[in-house]
Amino acid sequence: MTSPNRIKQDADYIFHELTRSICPECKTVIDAQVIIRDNKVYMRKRCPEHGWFEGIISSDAEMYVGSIRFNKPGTIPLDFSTEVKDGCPLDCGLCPEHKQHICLALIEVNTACNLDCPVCFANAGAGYNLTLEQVESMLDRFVEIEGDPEVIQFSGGEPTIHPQLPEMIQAAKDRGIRQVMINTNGVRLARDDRFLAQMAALDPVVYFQFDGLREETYLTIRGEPLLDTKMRALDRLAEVGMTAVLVAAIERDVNTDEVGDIVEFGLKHPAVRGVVFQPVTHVGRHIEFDPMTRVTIPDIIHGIVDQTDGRFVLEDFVPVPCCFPTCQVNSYLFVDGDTVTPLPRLLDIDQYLDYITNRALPKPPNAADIQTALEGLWSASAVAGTEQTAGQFECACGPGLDLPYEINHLKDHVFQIAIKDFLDAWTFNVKQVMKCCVGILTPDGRAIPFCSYNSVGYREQIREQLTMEQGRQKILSRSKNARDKA
Amino acid sequence: MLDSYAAKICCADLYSSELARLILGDSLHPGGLRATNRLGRAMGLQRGWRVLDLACGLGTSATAISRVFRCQVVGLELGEEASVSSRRRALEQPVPADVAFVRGDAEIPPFREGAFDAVIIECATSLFVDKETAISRVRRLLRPGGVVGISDVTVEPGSLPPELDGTVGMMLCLADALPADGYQSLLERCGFITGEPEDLSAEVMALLADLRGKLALGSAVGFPSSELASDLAESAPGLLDRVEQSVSRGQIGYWLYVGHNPY
Repeated sequence: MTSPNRIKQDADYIFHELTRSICPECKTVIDAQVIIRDNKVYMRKRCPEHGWFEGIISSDAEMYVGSIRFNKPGTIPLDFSTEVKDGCPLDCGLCPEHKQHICLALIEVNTACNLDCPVCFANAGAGYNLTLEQVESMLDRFVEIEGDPEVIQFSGGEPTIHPQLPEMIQAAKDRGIRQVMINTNGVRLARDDRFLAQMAALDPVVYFQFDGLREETYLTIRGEPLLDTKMRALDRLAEVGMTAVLVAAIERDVNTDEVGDIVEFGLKHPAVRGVVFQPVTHVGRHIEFDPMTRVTIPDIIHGIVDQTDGRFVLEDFVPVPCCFPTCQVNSYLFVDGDTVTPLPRLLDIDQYLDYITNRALPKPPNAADIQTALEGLWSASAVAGTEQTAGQFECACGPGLDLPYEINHLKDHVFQIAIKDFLDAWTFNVKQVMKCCVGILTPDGRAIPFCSYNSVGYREQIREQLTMEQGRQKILSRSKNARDKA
Repeated sequence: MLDSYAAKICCADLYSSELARLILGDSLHPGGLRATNRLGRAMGLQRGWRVLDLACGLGTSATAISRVFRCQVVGLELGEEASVSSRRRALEQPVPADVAFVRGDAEIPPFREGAFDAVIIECATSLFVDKETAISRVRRLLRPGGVVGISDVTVEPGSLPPELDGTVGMMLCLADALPADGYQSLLERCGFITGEPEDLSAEVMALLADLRGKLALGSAVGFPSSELASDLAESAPGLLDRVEQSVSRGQIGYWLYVGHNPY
């Protein structure tokens, strides 16, 4: 029975696109709608078994939609490790349908950690320790698929408690990999003089977990007071001349109000050349959260702008074109004493990194060089505080900025801010994973996109397999020892 | 005109200078350790082999080869001022236990016949004054079945712009480089059985782009201060365009060669 004066209603959202995601309960690949409501972007999806799920993926629809034009054509790797069989994201490794090579590769050298944080995407704990030989063969494979590998990051668990980390760093350097990083909580750097000296000699860039300047933040995210340890580790890095990038995990109502202070602290600290903000990824271990109000990239950009007393504007943050452009934004600052100048004020970044809109603006004669330099900076492989980044900064500034500094000192004046939103089961978007340029290397020669590894089930699978293998080998060598003794 | 020995000393010192390190990086050749690894793989270096690195510079390749391929490596270098070991120590770069450095002329290597399983010569053949004699001596240093690996800059006959003669050309290994097929036939003339050469010219393009950026910066800030550096900074920008052009036309390149000692 229809009522005569029934009026059709508009939906309260704009249907933006259809993509594929996974069910947060069972990880089954399912269709997902991306919708825009009240200038915010949400993902809405239904699992036949577990029903409907909805979660926010960007708190600023204009920024989200506007970032799409920063999408750069991908580069095909020299070799693939898997075949297309079950479709994305079930064939990872990379498969021939992947749309980008690996800019930044991670090797998780162990699963154990010297902390026991309530928030840990890697769910650190008992498991495996990779051997130096395994790591060397993974590095060799990385060279094989990339030819000219850009960045390797040793992670974990906690890589600094692996007894062969120094040899692993050396092995990466010996293979000519351009940048070598260690991803650490800094505890061992703060306490162990001998280890610090070893690291200083090898000089990897330290990707340094640093969630804020308030002790409560550490108590909530890390489960113990760590502020003094963090400060001591950073001061010691500065003493030995090493470079650190602060990496802050940001969670709603915990440290969203600290992003400005973290930037200001980083700008002042002599060891720090950059800050990476990562909204907490709700995989592995995490604290209770509401998928409708989780932190997204625009929250952090707005936070930095609002909390730094006019130092930044929204336009200082530009999407990264090498990965899918909704995954990461970067800014670069030129720091001279108290003067901090964001690079996007010196150059019209849009003019060079907008790959869709072909704007007919006059370009300088060295536009090609400038574009190349900017692509180097706005890339997942740009590592703060390295000579290469400094060189690109110089070139990118072209004739507009006359820098009276030697190249070896220039890098001390370039500061990077990156905001990376890793996917979890609520935000997982096949479209982003397909063009992911951050890969986790596995001992069987695969390079699995970071968010696939964490969300789809690869991490659990590989951890179980490596742990079992190691257990078996221990039993074998024990029984061999027993036989030898007999 | 310098006699050949003096020229080599000058060259060795030039290569060990801070400037060369700044421009070329620690490995002092295009492609750095990536190219070194590629050379080692092409040669099929095996664990435990005795390897000689002729004109080893700062020993960066020698130490990397020892660790990546688990070889025992001897580096030979002519630089006058300090031994490779002491220069490495000054840079806080340790010398692994199975690496030794010897001072001497790469064209008259002071080792007994058949002493090595493999010899690598990176960006040095082009600087040898008497290439045929030098490579014949290399073959005698190898055991039967031993392998030589050469990576070097190539220049096709008559294609070198005149501005590239002299110090700049010498610095870029261009002045006395052979054409791409020249190293191959040099190896064959000296009794080696050769494999398929590999083209690494893309590494030269990358090096040039990097060099251009660094020189642009150098001239903008009046750095570094040596006479050679300012000469380079003044003359190089236009020059680099020309080199880049030559590389893209295949007139200048960077190739990798492998030869086996049949006897």
